[in-house]
Amino acid sequence: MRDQHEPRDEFVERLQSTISHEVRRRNSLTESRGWTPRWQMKAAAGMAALVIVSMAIGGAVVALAYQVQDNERRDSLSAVYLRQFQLAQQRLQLAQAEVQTAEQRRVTGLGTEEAILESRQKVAEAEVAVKVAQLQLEEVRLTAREPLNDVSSPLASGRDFVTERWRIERTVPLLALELERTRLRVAAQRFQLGTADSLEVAAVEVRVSDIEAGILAFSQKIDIRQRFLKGEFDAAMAGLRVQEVMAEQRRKALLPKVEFAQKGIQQAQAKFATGMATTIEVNEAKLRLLQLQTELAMTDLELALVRRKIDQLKGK
Amino acid sequence: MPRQLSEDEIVQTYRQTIRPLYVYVLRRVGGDVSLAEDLVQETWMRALDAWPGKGVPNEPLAWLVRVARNVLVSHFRRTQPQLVDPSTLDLEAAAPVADAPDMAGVVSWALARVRRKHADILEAFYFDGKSIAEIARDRSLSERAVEGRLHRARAVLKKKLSRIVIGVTEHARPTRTP
Repeated sequence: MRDQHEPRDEFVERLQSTISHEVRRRNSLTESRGWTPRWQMKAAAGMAALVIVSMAIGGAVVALAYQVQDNERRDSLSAVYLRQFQLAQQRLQLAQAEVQTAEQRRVTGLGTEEAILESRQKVAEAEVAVKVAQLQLEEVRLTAREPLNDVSSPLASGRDFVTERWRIERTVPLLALELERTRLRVAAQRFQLGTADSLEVAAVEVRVSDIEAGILAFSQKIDIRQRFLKGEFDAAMAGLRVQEVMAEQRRKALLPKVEFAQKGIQQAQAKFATGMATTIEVNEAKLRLLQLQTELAMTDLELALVRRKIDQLKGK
Repeated sequence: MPRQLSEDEIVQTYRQTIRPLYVYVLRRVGGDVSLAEDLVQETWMRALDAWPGKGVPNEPLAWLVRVARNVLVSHFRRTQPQLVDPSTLDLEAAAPVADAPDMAGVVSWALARVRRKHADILEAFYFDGKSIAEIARDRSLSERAVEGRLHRARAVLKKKLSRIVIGVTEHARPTRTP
């Protein structure tokens, strides 16, 4: 039986994994900084001199200085994030005013239903931005450091800010999906009436698939985060799983785009045959398809590499 | 200038220090496992902030314990404990308060608000469970001097506690030598 004063094994393992991940992340940041300009080195030397002088003042001040430094960092970071929060609130007010204008224009027959939906979408996005900024501010005030958004970020005083933020951010594509589905219905009706062609409908279908893939990826990321917190995944595995999800998302979004680009070539060739399009337009359509196919091949390669790394990690 | 940390060295240091560090924090939060884990994690995040600049200290455990203490002080300065029943709060008792969550929480809350010199001696007595003789030996003082300091520190602690424990001064017994 475990001694009640001993830390839980899963806690020890999880924290070790978090620390290892953090060390690797910080080391990679240090590496990427590379060459330091001369003036920065001078500034660093000046700073070092200042630190030495400060240290000479006496060891007794160290503990107090630590506390003060911590509070100063917290205050300056909080000020930055408070400003971001206030800006987000101002943007929300502007977006709300835009909805009112769009609704008034609709009543007077000048605006469209789609314009109202778009302005409501902007309000929803602004609301999400306010909530995210508020969470960031809370995290900074609680931890005195920049908010962390990695799948393996540690909890902050028991709070999982990462999942909270992701859940809020997920509402943006959910609302966008609603808007695109409305557009799809309208496009389908127009197609039946003969006022729109099949390519117009296909374009909206591509956007719907794109958003659906994004929503699924968000849900999967949240699931990976939960499994990391439960100790089912270590930091390295959680990071790889998220890479896999993101590559899958890109793949799912690219497939309908490739199909759409193929239809675009067919339509351009048909138009060319009747003299309504030039060879430039046909070649542009072909180039678009080629670009998308290259992107798809790169995504497939990335997915294969990530999966191989996952298998290697499982095998350890 | 930030330098590269050796992952192996950090993990080895972590493995060597995690248990004593955890016990140190757990005692001061009265056995609240979830809070202890959060605070230990916070301590390690601060180590990762500081060590790339200064390097891993020669005595990492001492460094971590000192920072953990600051983290505890910050935590208890932000929190307000529940009012406690004065009959359960015995500041004269010799037994450490580590396994009494309410008591430990209250004492930690008050310790975050007293001077370092008082806090040090009270921590040694309440959380580390040291006797007067041991504290005297650690600090190269006479036992009588330690008793005097402990008495004065207790008086300060009681004053702080009187904000949250109604009538604590009336309930406290006269000082005795543990």
